[in-house]
Amino acid sequence: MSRITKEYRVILKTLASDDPIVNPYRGIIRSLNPIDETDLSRWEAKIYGPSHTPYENYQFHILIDVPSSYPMTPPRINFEQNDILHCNVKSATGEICLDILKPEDWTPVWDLLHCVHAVWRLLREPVCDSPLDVDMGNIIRCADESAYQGIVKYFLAERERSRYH
Amino acid sequence: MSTYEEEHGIQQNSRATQEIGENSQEEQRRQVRSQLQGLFQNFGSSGGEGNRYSDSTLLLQLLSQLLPESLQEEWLQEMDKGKNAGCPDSFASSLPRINKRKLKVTDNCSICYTNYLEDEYPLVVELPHCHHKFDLECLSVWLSRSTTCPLCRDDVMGHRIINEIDTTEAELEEDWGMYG
Repeated sequence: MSRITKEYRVILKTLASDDPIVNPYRGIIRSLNPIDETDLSRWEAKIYGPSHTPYENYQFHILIDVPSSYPMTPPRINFEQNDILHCNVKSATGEICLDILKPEDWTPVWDLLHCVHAVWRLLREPVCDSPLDVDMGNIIRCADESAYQGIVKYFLAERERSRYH
Repeated sequence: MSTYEEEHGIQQNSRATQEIGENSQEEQRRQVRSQLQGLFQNFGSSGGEGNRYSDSTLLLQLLSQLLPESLQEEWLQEMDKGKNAGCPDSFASSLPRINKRKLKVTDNCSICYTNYLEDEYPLVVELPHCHHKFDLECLSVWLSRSTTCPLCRDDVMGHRIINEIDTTEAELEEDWGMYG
């Protein structure tokens, strides 16, 4: 049985559990599943915005490509286009800059749950040293917390409005 | 790197030694000679091991400056290639095998997530220094592209030289785990 098949079983069991020891991702990962049950190379995930951040009370959609060389090479993980405003994400494409997803920092012991969790942590702790969104990076670097919060909240409010109206 | 480049470096260097020797005092000559000797020793050892030791990278870069410009770039690219690649094939197969009786029912390979004992004849190996265990098959694939332990990022090739110095504590801990 391939590694990704094994992972799928674990993911189903983990995310279905209410026990915080079995499922440490409660309130973090809402769902993680293959887009098509018969093709385990394309996955999608929904994560909750971390509390005490401007992302709180919003959900974010993540797309995952699992290459055939996985787990020797990392999965490719993106946000949905125009889903989020964050200094380590290129909003228009959803591209994420996260060290553990780069081939040189990846290790095969990590699984998709780890990766999605790492993306969630990136929302809580933006890394402004290597921004994909330079403007957002600069705002954080200036330590202008209220400007950062304001811009992200405005973006997300607009996002919701364009979706439902 | 090719023998041509190697020879080229040596030729230029020995010429330099000669010139300095002719024009300066005995002591200076000796100094230069011992410096060059050190340089070549490092060069030789890293050449043999495929450029994996970061401490000789600087020396190689210095040496590369002796090469004509056209060759310099090629050589530096070659060095980078060496850095990204994994261990030699012989490394994974030379690792100590773990006896089946020492494996617990719950032990599994962190690369393929399979319990070792699901296999009737599990081929499990242990990395030196950090003692992390993996299926030989899984680890071989990983070590063909990396030189680090998948679990702790320990540089598995780095300990072949300094093994004696800093493994004592790790080995002690391992022993406690085994007999305690």
